[in-house]
Amino acid sequence: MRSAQPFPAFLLPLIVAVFFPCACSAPPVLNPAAPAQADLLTRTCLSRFPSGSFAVVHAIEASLPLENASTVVGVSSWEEGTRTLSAALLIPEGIALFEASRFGGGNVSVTRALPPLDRPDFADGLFDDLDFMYFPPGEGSDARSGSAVIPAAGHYPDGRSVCRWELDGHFVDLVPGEDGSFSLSEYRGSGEPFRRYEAGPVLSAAGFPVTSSFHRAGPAGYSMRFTLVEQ
Amino acid sequence: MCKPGFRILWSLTGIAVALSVCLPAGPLMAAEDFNELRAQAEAVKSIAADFTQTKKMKLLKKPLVSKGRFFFRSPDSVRWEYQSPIRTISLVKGGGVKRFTQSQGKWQPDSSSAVEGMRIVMEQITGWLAGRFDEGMLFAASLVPGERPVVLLNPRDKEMARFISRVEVRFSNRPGVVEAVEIFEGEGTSTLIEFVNVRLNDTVDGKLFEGVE
Repeated sequence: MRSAQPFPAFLLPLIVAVFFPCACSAPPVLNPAAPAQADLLTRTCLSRFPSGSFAVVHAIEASLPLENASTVVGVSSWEEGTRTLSAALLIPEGIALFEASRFGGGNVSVTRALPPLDRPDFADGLFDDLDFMYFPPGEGSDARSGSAVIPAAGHYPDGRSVCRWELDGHFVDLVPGEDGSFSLSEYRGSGEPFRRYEAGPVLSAAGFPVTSSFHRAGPAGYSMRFTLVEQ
Repeated sequence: MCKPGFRILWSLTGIAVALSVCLPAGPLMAAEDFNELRAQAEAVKSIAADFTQTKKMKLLKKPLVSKGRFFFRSPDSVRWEYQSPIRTISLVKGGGVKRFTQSQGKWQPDSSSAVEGMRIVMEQITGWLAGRFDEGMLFAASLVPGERPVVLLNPRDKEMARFISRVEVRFSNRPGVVEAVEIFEGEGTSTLIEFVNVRLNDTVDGKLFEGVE
């Protein structure tokens, strides 16, 4: 019989997505903008994503219901020339828990993964979330170069500007704030967003959000708060 | 008892702390074997030091540098504190472990399950504090004697060896002072912890081991 194990709670938010991949939700109504305004709004939306290669280090505070938060260090890098997205997770004491890269549309190549981060699909789930946060929908690190998807641009009934991408029956809304902040929400049916990323408004000298957060809905929902450490 | 994977994970989590607590003191220039190291460790009643941790890995354009401070009081009290860039404090006292992270200006305790996991490495820590490098379950130790002695630690467990290839504990030529600990995790990945302002057997306030402030 297997004995009780102390589960590393701070890793749960990072692996739970694998087992609870969908909570269905639908986006609010979008009232289309006039063509000239739509072009400007689309450019504004796209400007919220990093351009070119980048490498960032974040403190990642992960929270689960009924659990205290724990912090890990996250390293993310994107080499535009080789279309290589890489990620690593470290404990503050320095030991690397996870390290992997993906070249273009290839599979994720894991070079280091401590249990339980070596579970099947964890790496794919992590890279899927990184794509969501750092790349325009449809133009993730695994997309072919030049495969841009043009969003619909308009306004919510409450007047907020929004760009909307439709991909495989899912919707991703980017709502740019006038202060430089923005939110990304992915809808997969009716109700609340399946996942949501909020960033800014304070930006680093190189234009990266100093603080941001990621939230996944559902019974196994979780939240992660990112604080930029180095860029 | 822990599943091996989790034991290894928590061992790694505690290893940076553990290795840095293993600061046996005494005239180490004369240490020719582990018995001498053990005898010298018994003379240490307290340690206070600052440290710089330099993390290198291929993914990082430049090393990630963290700074902090460390306190030890015999027989089993430890405070391992990172002051930048992420503020965390690990407190060890009487076999109990607490870990805190600062979030939005407030100290938050780590989850109870995470802290429980940290207990797994306590036996290792306690052994090193007593200078018992050669008795640890996780690492096999060898001593390179000399003016600047070095203790080499190699993982006994094959699973552990996938993540830590070796550890070097380097003593300075100043009697009783560990100069650096370097953890080699694999090709191009290492964690170097360098100590400065090392004070031995000074008075260390017991409150440092009670809480974050």
